[in-house]
Amino acid sequence: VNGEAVAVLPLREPRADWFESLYRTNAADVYAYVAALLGDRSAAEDVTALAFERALRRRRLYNPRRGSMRAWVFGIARNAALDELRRRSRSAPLVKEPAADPPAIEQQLVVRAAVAALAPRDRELILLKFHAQLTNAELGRILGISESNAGTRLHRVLRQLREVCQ
Amino acid sequence: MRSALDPAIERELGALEDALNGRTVTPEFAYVAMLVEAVRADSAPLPARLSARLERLPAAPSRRPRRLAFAGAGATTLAALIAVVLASGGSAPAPVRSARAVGSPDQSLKATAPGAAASPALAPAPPGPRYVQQAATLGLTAPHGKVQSVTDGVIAVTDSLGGIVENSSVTTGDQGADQAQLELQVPAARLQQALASLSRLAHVNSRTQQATDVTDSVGAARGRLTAARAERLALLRQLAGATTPNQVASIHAQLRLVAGQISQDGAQLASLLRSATYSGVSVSITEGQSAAGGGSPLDVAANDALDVLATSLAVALVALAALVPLLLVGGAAWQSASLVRRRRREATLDAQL
Repeated sequence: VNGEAVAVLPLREPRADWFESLYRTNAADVYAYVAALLGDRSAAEDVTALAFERALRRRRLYNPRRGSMRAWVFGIARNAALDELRRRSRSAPLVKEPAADPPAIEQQLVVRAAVAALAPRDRELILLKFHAQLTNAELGRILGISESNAGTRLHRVLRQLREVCQ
Repeated sequence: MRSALDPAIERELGALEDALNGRTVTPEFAYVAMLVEAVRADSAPLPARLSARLERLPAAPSRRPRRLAFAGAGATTLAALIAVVLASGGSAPAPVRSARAVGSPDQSLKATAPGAAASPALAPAPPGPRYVQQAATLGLTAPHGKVQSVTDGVIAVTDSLGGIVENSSVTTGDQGADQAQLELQVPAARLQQALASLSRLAHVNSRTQQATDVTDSVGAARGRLTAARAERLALLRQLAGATTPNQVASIHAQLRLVAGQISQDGAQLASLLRSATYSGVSVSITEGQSAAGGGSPLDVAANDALDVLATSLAVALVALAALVPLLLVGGAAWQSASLVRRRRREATLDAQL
């Protein structure tokens, strides 16, 4: 997975080719991130499709100087996922579905529980970092915080997870 | 660019980047590698159904972005605004005033006296010809030292069109600039030709036209004249039948009164008809301060171009003055809406606590 390869694609490339490169490189990670954030794989499908549809529609608004295209797509996906969470919170309480495939080893189970126990903002940060593999600057831009703040928060969350896992 | 982070944190974050990129990490940060591996192993695989759905997306008809709709609405508003400003034309400078803008006599009132046609603006027109008095004033700015030659040109144009120079005066002052004033009478049917020819002589700084329908006045004067003539005829018949000196004297006295009335009504009618046949043109010529006053076609064209440019800039300025507050308010509203949307999304996360 290398988001930078997508970021340098010329926007004048034919629409279908451009989009194919974009989703082939990022769709799996976006879906994994959205599914982890929502805790609902079915809804994650819709949100991921919506995110890519928005990206396709707004592709001329992408500015390479403001970050990689991967970070841009994850920002769109994050907004779409949070909108979905908000919509659900208005209609019905969020019920997280159990993972379809239980972890094969105990360590994964522990990590999953530890991540799930994190504060929502911390959980979002760690999911975005692990799935999107963005730089701290890109994380900060998406979350509306500074780069150093993103690094500090990341360190704090890693320490929490280490205590749980060790 | 990272800044002001503790070296220990920097090392840990560096180990995280290594683990995310599949590189080996030092034993000190083995837990980071384990975390990355565990979270990724727990990732939901991309469903084939979603993959197929995404592949179909580029072929789907794209909806028109709202941004474009807003831009379209903005462009429409701007066009409407400019149209309103142009239509009002009130605040824009108009160095060359033309009566055409407010209704030229040639457009709204045409003499049907000799050589002219009735105007639809007066419909429904009563039967019979209509009589319209037309008058125009023209202000010319002659190049320095050219007032006399422009005056000669005015006279030549008037003569060529069969008009009359009723009055002319040229003032050559030692202290002030030269100026001239001419009162012309040109055939009504050739008024526009006259104005066009005169306008080519020098830079036009003002031009107005007026039109007055005198058809009713002509009818009334003609009616009075007809009645007076009929009365004179009747008096003459009475005179033929008069038998006493007193009767003859009385009828003669009445005939003198009626003759005076006929003369007066006839003169009035003739004046009205003449005013509808000939149009008065008042031409004033002033001397420009420099060659920029323009006399040659090139100077006139340059001045007109500057006028047009100044008017366009004025219109653009007015439009800008109206648009800037709108754009500021719109931008502030857009920023506020973005902030509210972001806050709501963040609040969604907080609500899960």
